[in-house]
Amino acid sequence: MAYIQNAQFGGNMKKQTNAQVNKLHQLTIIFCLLLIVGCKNNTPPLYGISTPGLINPVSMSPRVGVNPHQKFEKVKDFLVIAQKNQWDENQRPTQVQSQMSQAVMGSERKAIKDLYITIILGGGVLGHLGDKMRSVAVQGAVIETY
Amino acid sequence: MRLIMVLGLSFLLSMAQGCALWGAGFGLTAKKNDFPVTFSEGIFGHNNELIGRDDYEVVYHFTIKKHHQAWNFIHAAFSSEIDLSDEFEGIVRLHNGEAIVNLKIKAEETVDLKFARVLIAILTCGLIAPWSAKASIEGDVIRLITPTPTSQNDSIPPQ
Repeated sequence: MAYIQNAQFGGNMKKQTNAQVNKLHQLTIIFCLLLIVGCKNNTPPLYGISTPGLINPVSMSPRVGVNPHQKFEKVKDFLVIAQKNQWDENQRPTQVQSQMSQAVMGSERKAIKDLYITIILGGGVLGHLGDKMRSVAVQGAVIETY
Repeated sequence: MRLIMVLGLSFLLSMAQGCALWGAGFGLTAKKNDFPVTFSEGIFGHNNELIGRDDYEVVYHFTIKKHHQAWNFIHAAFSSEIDLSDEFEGIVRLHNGEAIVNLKIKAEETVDLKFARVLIAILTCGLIAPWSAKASIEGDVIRLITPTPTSQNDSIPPQ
């Protein structure tokens, strides 16, 4: 009698365990689907910085010309931050380009030097909801040569 | 009820992973170069005049690929500067150039093994949130067509 009772108890345990495993499988599948959706929304597209058409030097180095003895004076600091929704159809940060052009506009002696470019990628909290938190910061110095 | 709790928890963890990646970025600089490295197509010439594409020849077009990665957002914050000076110096010297113009920088978050990376981040509650990005830097190495003042002086016979 005790043996039969034990066998029944074991059977119930087995049924319970199977049900738990099935539920775990379902949860895992839902969890993975959620992750895939999150990953898909969290991928920012390719983007870049360039200044087509601009002639005044916009240099990453401390030099803007080939003459090492060229003299200049600093006009002001240059800092522009382009965040989401400030990108053109070619994925260029329009804010950065227009600010660069404006900074050197009106004089053939003006240039920008010592550019430091910070690129921030990643989805952020809202990345999973389709929003993009990517941004670009460009800082340097506007100079005038003489 | 338990299902809703698990789903809610997984969603929150998934968003936390996004938080961990927020702020992950990198800085690009070329502060050690003693020649122009410009995004535009013009530079100042030997006589300090502004010169354009008619005054130089492109001797080499280059593309540099950079792969930047971090284990989590803290690591990303402390290992975020890429100095391109040495690479630019090497390219310009190799091709006897005088400057780099038409610079273009493109950036892209890598998508390879993204699912696995996100899963690792969630399993470790965001402590290990592997992140990586690729940067592609393009440009033209140029040499001025007009002779340099030193070579002009060399050609003058001593009196």
